[in-house]
Amino acid sequence: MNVSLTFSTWVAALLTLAVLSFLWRDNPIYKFAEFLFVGCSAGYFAAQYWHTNIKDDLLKKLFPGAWGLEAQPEWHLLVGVAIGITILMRLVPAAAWLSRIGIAFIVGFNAGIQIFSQMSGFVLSQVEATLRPFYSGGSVGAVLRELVVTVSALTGLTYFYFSKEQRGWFGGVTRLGIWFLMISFGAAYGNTVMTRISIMAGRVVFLLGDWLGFKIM
Amino acid sequence: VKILERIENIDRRYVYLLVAACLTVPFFFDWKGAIDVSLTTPVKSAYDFIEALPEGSRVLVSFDYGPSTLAEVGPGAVALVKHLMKRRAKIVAIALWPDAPALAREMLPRLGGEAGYEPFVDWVFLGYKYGGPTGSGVIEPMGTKFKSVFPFTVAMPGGEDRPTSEVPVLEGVESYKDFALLVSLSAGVPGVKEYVQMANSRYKIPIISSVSRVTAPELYPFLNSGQLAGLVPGVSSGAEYEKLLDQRGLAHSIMPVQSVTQLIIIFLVILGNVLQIIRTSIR
Repeated sequence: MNVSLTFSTWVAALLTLAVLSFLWRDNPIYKFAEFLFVGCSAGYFAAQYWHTNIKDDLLKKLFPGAWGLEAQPEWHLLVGVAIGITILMRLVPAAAWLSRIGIAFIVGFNAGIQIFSQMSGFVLSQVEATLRPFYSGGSVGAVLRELVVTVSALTGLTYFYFSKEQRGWFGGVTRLGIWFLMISFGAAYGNTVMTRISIMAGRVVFLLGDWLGFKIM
Repeated sequence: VKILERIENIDRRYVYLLVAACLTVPFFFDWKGAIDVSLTTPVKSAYDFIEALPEGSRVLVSFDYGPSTLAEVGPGAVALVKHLMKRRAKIVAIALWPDAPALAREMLPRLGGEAGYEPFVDWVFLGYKYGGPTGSGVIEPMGTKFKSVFPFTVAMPGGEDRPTSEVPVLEGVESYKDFALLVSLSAGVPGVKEYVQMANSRYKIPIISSVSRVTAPELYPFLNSGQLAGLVPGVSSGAEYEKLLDQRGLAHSIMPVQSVTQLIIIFLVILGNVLQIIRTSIR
């Protein structure tokens, strides 16, 4: 055992224990750690946005000379600045209506990108992958996999078809769809548990290894 | 019935203690050889793809995770970057998460130093850029004007930031087509799903990703459709990749703990259900 003498390691370790103390019950030490985290995060994110977006993307391009850069000012960026300022107008009740301009710009931009990429990246590609031939020269396992993909996709979709009562043969198909859905929910739950264990194990490695200096096998 | 009630109403903190013991005690034992790490297709596909990259290929590495998921995504991320450096790939790193730069600034100089990589020549970190909630403000424009999205590099300890137009590793880079591969180290949104949606579907850049286990189920369809060239989900896959590289790392240390704790959780889930069935039948 070789306990760390680094100040930052002690701060991180004590804050980890402070957060974990919530498992016992809510307490002032946990609250302190929680508020400290919220405050630090807000300050850190604000600084990140300032340096990477405001300073690098705007100010350095508008006034390159001020940063010793040999480039022409990109005055067209002022259009973006104006649109950005309209969103801040929400803070001024008399001019709050101006914020709609900025929001409309953001909604329009994102809708334009999302409509194309959602269709192309998610819908069409997945439909194509689902409806591949079962046999294309592969092994028995590959054929079974293609079969499971196609059957689970079709029965899963059928379950969400509500224009016909789910009885008889149709009910049987939808029940199969529910089974596939349940299996996928189970897989999602199992993966979630694995994630949480790994994250906690990472903290234990830090506490035992980095902080207390135990040799981790 | 009283015993059933006592077990059912047990203070949840005893369960926490049991899980804490499972998460701690196994670290003090040598499990070498006890846990068999078997290879899975998604991980092998990722390894094979990188192995087939020609030496000097330019690879875009996107840090899309934070300290909260470091233990989950980190082992796979380290293994992937180590493999890229072993293949002498030129690494251009960016971040879509604001808390990711600290991780990149720790990992890249350390691994780069071990591999004999020279900053700005063999690797560069361009920092974090906010692209909206889905990252579209960054992912989409990178396809047409890369250097305009990332006009400057990020200062590394002992160095200073530079305009990307003056960085050797970025010479001739204009869009995704100038990269042989995109590696997304992803724990959520924006991350690999958004890259598949916007970068792969439109610009056809191959993507490999190290992700947290919790996001893995929704990514498997992209492997099936060929939109992902490989996937390294969670610590277990990180251990697989470490095995492929023949290097024991953090993932191998965590695996025994994860296995023991999972067994306990499976036992508790079964116990809870058995108790419920007994109770229902008694009623």
